[in-house]
Amino acid sequence: MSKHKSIYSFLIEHRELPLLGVLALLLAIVNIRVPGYLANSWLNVLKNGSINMVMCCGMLCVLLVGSIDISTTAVLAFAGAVAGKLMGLGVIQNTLLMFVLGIAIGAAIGAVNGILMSYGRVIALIVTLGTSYIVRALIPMNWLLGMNKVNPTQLTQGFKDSLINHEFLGLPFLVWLAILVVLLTALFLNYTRTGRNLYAVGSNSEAAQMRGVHLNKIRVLAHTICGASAGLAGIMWLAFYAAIEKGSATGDEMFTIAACVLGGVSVTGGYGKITGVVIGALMVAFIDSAIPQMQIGNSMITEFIKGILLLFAILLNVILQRISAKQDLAGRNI
Amino acid sequence: MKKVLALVLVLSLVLTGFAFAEDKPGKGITIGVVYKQSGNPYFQAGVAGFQKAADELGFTFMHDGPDDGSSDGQIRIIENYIAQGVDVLCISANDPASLVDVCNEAREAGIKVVTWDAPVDPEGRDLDVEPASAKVIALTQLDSMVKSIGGEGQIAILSAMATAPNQNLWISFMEEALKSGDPKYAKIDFVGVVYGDDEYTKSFNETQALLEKYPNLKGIIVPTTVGAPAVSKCIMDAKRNVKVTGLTLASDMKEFINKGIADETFLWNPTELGYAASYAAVAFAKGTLTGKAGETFDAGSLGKLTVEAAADGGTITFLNKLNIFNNETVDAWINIL
Repeated sequence: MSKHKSIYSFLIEHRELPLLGVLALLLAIVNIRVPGYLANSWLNVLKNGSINMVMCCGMLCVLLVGSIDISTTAVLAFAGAVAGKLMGLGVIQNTLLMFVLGIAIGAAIGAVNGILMSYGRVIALIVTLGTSYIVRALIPMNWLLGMNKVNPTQLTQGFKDSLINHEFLGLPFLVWLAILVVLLTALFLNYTRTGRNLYAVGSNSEAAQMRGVHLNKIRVLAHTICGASAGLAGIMWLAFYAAIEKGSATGDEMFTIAACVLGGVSVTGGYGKITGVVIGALMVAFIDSAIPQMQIGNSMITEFIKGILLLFAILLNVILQRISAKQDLAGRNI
Repeated sequence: MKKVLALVLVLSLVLTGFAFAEDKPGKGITIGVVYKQSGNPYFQAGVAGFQKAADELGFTFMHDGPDDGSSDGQIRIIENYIAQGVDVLCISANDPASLVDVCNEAREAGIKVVTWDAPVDPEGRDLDVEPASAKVIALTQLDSMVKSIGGEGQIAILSAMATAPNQNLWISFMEEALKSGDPKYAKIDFVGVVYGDDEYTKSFNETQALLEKYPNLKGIIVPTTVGAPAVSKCIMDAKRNVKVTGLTLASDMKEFINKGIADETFLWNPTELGYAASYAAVAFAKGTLTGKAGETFDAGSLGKLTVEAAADGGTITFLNKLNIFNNETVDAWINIL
């Protein structure tokens, strides 16, 4: 009995573990259907998933305070396009400066989102929908630095090589950058007072306020972090794909949110772990990479399968969590 | 005396007005332009053609396309134009069949429907304006690929949406040619079509899958402008010796043409296409064109264009101009396309 109890309470503590099981199961299925899939594709999964991974870290912060941001991919495209246009015009030639600029643009838009949402008391869904339309519409406009999009010839060779053609321990810098952002987010959320306050505001805002936490400041901070991560993702996108335009990454913000929810993050705030988010983001990247390889059919069928896989993964995860929660209650004789 | 002067002034003003009206045959005509997707540079270049023709002919035009490249988005835009009372619609259709009803609604309201770039089915249009016949476009790409890979090896196609009418027609001509027994295609092994949905990342992922599934793949034909740079970038990152050809913008492909990933790519000039569609639209509005096979109309700097019977049962006009982008020509085009 006591042994069982400890296993279940371990599962309760680590809600992301069942997801790891689901991921392993899906990998096994795909590997049977496409022999050698994992051996050939693991690096592509990591590379393609890096950009979403970075945005997931920002999204986690926003979800923790009980808010949401659906402008992330619009911010990605906007920050990438502005920085890319500046490089095309010869204003910026330094790779590092591109990343700094991208993060700054993203953080500024995120801060506006946060201020409107907290001090302005507009629901975050609408605020971020509004900003996403605005910044996307700005991208092709002529008065904004001319070009209506960014293509490879406008970028310096050094910038295009920066994330893809430099490797450390066999992994390109693109992947290392995502790992770095994950580690920083983990340290921030788990070991700093401000980071813990994100959880406090999301789980019980009144209690947090009583303890002297400034609610609005924390919410603005969360949105600023999310915007900054999206801005960084925009520069990563530009360095990886060497092109960006108005429609880039449209709709992908939903996969960022899906990855977080798959990873056990509560959309009502207060609960969520970076480890779960990492597994969730890997799962989404894996689904994106595996479906075309399975050669099931045309694009309509692959989208159908993608939807089914997402639902399957999240349902299985929810069921496993519920069983372990029930066992936990039984274990305590409730 | 003052009265006489005033009269003279008024008369001269009126006369100049008439003179202007005569100079600009399109004055007072409103055209509603609908394209596949807003923000797509290809269609922005198309709109530049409408603008050029508007400057010459004096008509006014509005332009719009759905964000998501959907047919229902286009239907809403067309209904909006009907309500605003445009004289002619110039449409590049995301789906040939689903716009037929709304186009006929427009025609019942006295609006002429000219399609350009991608047609609506013949029962829903008055005339279609296209760059070159589908067969010419298809075989130009296929023959270029055969040349690039030295006449031998595995090739694949990465297309746009699975429902895209242009791409499907071109692909069917390519498949037909490959099966025809023509000796120049005898050693070509066609492995199939994948769809990138005109999304950069989806096209990229599909290319990765192709490269992994076919280690001996020699070439990918990409008959869509959004897909081509994604496919080329993916091949470049994978450091594979796979050739690309297709329909592309010059500015998107310059880097990959210079690096030898693509030997040559093709495109008509969408600005000329929009320009020709404008001249057809104005001729329709003035009643000098009815859209029957054998008619001709003046298309400004493009000269006289002829209406022909189309393969789908409607009528069509071809510009018959396909530009080649290669190491020598690409630089001259990057600021245009």
